[in-house]
Amino acid sequence: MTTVRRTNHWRGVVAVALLAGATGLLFKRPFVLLTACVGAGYAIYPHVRPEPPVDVGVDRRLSETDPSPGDEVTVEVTVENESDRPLPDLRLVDGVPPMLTVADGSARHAAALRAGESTTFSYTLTAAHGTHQFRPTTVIARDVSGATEVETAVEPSTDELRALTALPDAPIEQDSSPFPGNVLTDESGEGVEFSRVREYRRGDDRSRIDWNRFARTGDLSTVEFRREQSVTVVACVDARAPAYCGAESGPHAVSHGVAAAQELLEAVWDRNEKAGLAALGRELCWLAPGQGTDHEERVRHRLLSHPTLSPRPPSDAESDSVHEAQLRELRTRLGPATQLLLITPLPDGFIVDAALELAADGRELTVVSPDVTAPETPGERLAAVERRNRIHRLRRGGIRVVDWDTEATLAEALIRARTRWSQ
Amino acid sequence: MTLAAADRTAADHRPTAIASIASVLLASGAAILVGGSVAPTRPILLVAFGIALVAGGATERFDDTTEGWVLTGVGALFVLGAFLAAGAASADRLGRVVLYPALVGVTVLGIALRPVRDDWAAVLATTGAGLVFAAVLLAGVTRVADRFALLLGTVGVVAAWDAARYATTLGQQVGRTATTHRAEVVHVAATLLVGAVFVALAETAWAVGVTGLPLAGLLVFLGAAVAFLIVLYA
Repeated sequence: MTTVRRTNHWRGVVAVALLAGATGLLFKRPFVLLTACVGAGYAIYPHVRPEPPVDVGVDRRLSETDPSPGDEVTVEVTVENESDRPLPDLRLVDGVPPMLTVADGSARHAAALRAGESTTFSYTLTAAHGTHQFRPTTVIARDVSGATEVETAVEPSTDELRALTALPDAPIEQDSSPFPGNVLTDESGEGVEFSRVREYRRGDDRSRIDWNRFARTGDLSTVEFRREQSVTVVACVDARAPAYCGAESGPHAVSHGVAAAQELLEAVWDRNEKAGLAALGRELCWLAPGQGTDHEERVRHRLLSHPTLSPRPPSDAESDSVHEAQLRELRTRLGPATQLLLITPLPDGFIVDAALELAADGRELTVVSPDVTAPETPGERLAAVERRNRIHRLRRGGIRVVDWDTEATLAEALIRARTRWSQ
Repeated sequence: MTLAAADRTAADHRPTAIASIASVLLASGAAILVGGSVAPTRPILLVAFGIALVAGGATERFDDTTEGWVLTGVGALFVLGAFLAAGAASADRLGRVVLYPALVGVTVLGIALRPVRDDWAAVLATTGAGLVFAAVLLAGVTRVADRFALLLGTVGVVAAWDAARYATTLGQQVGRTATTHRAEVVHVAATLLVGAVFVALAETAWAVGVTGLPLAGLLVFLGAAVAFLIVLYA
């Protein structure tokens, strides 16, 4: 999308001509009147040159696409002026992935390119855990006087950056639909892993009778195994305007949420279960649960490109009624047996009410909440306290909450949560 | 500013170096030119040098270090010394009338480029350049400067203002950490070239003998030019 803007760079230069002209006339100094000519010339200058042509090719190369977390990756960007007119003032801002920091150099550059000329700049990123994709490069071209600015985005083809450590099991509940699957449930029934022994009832399968015990004691008893069931999971990211909160120095909660959704969905797919994506925000984002490489690619692409999940906050906040409509639509699309992972920083009461409503339908709900409060000012401390109150309210309502301190990885937060739930 | 903060380093978004230096040099040069033989040049040179030291203390290498603070302090002393020298100089009144606005103008321009506050940068740059332009006009009114010096002085003031605004916006958009040399040089050179073209035009107009015309005729001509400019801006 290309935007053409008039900068106000030369606004006010007419005053030079007017002042000089007025002074020259008032004091009858012809030399001063001559300087008014120079002023008038400068007033005409911004209007002379046409819009600059923005036909650039951007090529981005990474020194490695599969680093370990903490490694440094060098990114080299080459920009070529593909039009036949010179670009006298070109500014570039490379689309660094939202969760990564620039360790050395700058992802921005300015250059003046003749027709066909190219320029290169490079910078270093510190790889953080997760899969990261580069965003399009912003290209801003100005004409030589600086009066008109053309902004556009160019998407060079780059590989994504994957720096991963394994995530332990996703926090999905053990009982769901009656279809057999790979998740071991706590219910006893048919299966492979031993669960318990109970008294024999008429109709029990003869192959499940514990004959060893019958031989020892003479009692008939049936062995039960842990039932294996399939599971359908949807990860729902809260991307409404209040959720774009966070400390100044780090990524905001929605970026954390998108990264967490990616990890959790990968963990569910690793267990060969179905997973899908949803998001509340500008518009309802929905991708029905599924499995397989095609589906995984679709979800990954949706996470990175859907406007609701954009790293830029919405320019104006939508009203609650819009989100309530999205919530209603989400509830109809979610089956009663679908487990829900709600990823939200808990910025207001709306999402707490929404979570309680969704859980009241009888489905399993787990809230994963990135903690982006940095209690330095009194206002931020209040926000942290309010967030803790919302977590308590959810837990009292019987909903499991993973309180994730974003300084640590999601894996550690899940391990801690699991320890607490098993107590 | 519609750019998202895609890189999370504490990037240096102060005005870029080359255009800032060009701006201060052009403003000082314009002030010295129109001062001519009447106004003392030493105060302007002292101010320019002082601003250079203060700016040096603010660069990335020296920022927040003791050397940086020493540089800033010494620079400020030079600026103060320049004002004292202007006060003590034994120039006649005409020279002082031209000198003082120019001195204050160059100082304000230097402050705009330091910068003290981001949202004041544009206002301060315009004020500084405006004060130096006032000095140019005064030099013209009091007949201290000759024709060519006045024309060059105007070009210098406008180029200094343009370079200061450019340095500020480029710093905000791209920052100092990035490489920006070529773009800055091209922009400042283009502004100076346009100025040179219009100075040549003005000199030609003078050589043709415009002052033979009656004042009323000149008034009509200027009125037409102003109307043309207003239409352009509409």
